Amino acid sequence: MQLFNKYLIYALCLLFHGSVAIAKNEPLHPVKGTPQAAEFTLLDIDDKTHSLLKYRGRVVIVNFWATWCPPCRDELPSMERAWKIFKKHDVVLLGINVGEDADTIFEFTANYPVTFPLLLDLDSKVTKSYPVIGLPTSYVIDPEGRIIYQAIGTREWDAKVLIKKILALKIKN
Amino acid sequence: MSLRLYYIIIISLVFSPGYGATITTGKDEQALLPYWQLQSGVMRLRLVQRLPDQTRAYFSGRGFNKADVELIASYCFFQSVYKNTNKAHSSEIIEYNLTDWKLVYQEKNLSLMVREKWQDIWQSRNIKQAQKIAMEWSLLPTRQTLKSADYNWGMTAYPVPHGATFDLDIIWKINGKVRKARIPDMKCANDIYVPPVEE
Repeated sequence: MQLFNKYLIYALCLLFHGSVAIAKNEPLHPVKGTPQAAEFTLLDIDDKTHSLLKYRGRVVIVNFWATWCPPCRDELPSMERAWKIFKKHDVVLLGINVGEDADTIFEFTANYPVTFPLLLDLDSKVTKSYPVIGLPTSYVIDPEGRIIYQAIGTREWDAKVLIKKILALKIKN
Repeated sequence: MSLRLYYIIIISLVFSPGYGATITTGKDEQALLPYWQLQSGVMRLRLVQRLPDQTRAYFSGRGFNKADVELIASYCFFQSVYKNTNKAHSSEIIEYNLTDWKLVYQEKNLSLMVREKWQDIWQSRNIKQAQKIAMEWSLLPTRQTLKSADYNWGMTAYPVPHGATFDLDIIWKINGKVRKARIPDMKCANDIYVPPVEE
């Protein structure tokens, strides 16, 4: 019976430890074949032009989102925290809004303040040039313009493991 | 504690999170409306009732005209969250296709109103591009592949009257293996008008 108790405690520890380890993990999924990211030129809500080609040589995170999408809203605070780290390392973060106008997004940012660029894909043509099926979806593009990672749904973008993985793309090149 | 009780605890700890499909219902904490949830292994689907007035408000806000809003709101909507709950890297990949799902209402098998069906409707109604985009991205994707920690949110639409009760047959794949489950007695929200409170 004592031995059985030991095994029970061990099993519970394993289960508990497993759940803690899992909670810290924020997977980015490798994209098969690392295809070249579709080029785009879009205006942000401050009328500034952003062209993906101009960011060649830097790691770029592209996040497709909308104001009405609850999980998109959920990940904005962690993205903003991550952005503060990324910009120090010359990593670009672009939030591409699907189908909404600048006024709608501007109003929205009163409650969800973010400082990274929010681009307008009014006709969703850029969104459709990527394999986006649902929102939010994010891609990590390496300095050579290849899509390396994908995430469907929210992530804790400021999780250490995730930041490390993204910064490693910069070091590789 | 008896040895038997230990066995029960261990077996429930190891097997209860997933190896069989579990259906739960209750009130969604955020929406404060009834939900139906299916969990099977790493797959979790939660369907939360939406009131027709919520649907009207949402699509009016996206610029649909009154007639189109009423057409949309005549269908039964659920807010839907489809998730691969495995947070660690794992080889378990979920695939689904909403066109495989069936709802059973009054002994008839009916299909969901997926993105493509709405596109057909809008073609005949001369709807603007902005509204088409809003509708398309608001609905749960018709087909999706979800790896660990991936999830999608979106509405699912059902061609049954408000207040109707139906069964939903769900099909998905885990690593290519087909799985099926039925959520019985799902209830579409009633179309209730709540007048504003006068002060």
